[in-house]
Amino acid sequence: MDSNGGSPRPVDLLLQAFRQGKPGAFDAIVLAHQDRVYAFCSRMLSDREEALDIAQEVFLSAYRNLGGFREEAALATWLLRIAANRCLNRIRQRSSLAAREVVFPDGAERDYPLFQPPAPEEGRPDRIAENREMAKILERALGRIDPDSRWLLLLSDVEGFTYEEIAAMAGIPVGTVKSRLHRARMALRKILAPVV
Amino acid sequence: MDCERGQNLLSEFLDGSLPESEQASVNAHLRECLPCRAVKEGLEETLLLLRGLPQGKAPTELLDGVRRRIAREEVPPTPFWKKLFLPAHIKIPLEAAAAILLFLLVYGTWKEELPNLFSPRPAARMDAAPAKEFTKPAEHDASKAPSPPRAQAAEEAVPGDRPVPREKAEPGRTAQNERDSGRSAGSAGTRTAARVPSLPPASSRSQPSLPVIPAQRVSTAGERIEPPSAAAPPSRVARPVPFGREVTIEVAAQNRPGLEERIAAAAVRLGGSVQDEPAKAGIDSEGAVDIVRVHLPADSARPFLAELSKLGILPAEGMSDRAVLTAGPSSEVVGYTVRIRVR
Repeated sequence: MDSNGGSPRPVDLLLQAFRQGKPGAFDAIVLAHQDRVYAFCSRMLSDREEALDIAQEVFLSAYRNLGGFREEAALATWLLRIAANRCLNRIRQRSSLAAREVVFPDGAERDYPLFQPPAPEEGRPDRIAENREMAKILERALGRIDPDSRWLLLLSDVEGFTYEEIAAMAGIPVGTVKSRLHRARMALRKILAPVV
Repeated sequence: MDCERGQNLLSEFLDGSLPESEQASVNAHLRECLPCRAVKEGLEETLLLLRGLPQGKAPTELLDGVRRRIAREEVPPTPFWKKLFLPAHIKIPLEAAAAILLFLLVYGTWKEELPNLFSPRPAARMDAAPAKEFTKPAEHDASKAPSPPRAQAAEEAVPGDRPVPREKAEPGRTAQNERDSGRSAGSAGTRTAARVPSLPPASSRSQPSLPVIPAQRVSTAGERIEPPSAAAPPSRVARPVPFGREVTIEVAAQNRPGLEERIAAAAVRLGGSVQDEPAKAGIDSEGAVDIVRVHLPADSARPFLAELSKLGILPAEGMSDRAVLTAGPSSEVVGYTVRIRVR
């Protein structure tokens, strides 16, 4: 998605500057990607403090390893991949998360409380999505999705990566990405059904 | 197309990633199937919500935190010398104080050990000793003249009615060493008979007499003096006793050399001991007139006089009134001053 033909991307220029040791180059890289990385971490972890911590770890890891980054993928893809791995590790460390995770696929009995939508007078979902409150609701719903599927959902439907890119990042076949992503979307639809 | 198949393809249908034929099949099914169309609409709205999620702004502390972490990583490890000496105003005085204390401790310990380090060992001293140093380390005698019973007896306690302090025998020490140490300590304690002739005149007689097992001796004339035999009774002399009983022994000039040793050997053999610091009465024109002071168990007094009579003549005028004890067992200790006179 970051590919835009043969001309170098601005980020690539930043990368070159960093490799040339220009002062401030890495700060510029962080500034260019921090919103995306932080948002991804925040949605993966459903916790702002943890998201901030992980996002910092992602950039620290990037700082250590940028020398070996071969630009086979866009820098953003590389950063989000690091973020996804870090978030999954953090989630696995949480002992309390298991009870909150959705067990799907279809037909399984819910063992979690039903999603409580906001008051119906708040209007249609496409308008609500722009509302911060709706964003919180959606993020809470995302938090109920199995983490291994959640990050596929975020990469695909929030970050806009293709199946192939996700497969490459996750190291799984494209068919698996498709099936897991479909199940995740259906699970999220179920959770949001009272709203949408 | 059935509903299950149609719903399974909904994601790809909405993404537009299905082949055209399948895209058309799903589309046709959705037109006919209301439930599947409802699912498709719900999924579509969910995707719209997801794709419409605001990007959000990362907190400003993110960049600051990254900078801090990088700075922390880039700080080079402190060199050892810096850890050792910095901050200098604190660490150097502390380390100097520690070094001084350590030096004092080591020096103090070393100083205590210094005399032992520099003093010759008994064996080495024996090798270097002149001919008149007739005492040899007792361990050299162990194989030749077994005297453990005697030595043990000498170390045993005095009779129960006389609990007095005593000095342990030190078989490894040479006569010279003992004499040296005796001088340095100003002690006039009882020592072996062998060193009697070579000690300076005594000025005091107040020190307690303690039995010491004599080592093998050789007289100044080269005559070997056997150590007290194992059969000799243990010394029971252990407390200060005045040398008030005087005996004079007259010997011919040719018998004079080594007489002190023979007297001392006789006393020790009889369970007595010899005053460490002999009191030389003086030198006459014909030779030495010496004094040997011994302590003896009272019941050994008579045998001691008998031994003396074998060594020389005991003129009656040379004996004090109390020199000859009355017969009978006694646990007393008596002190003899034996004057040697050369005829």
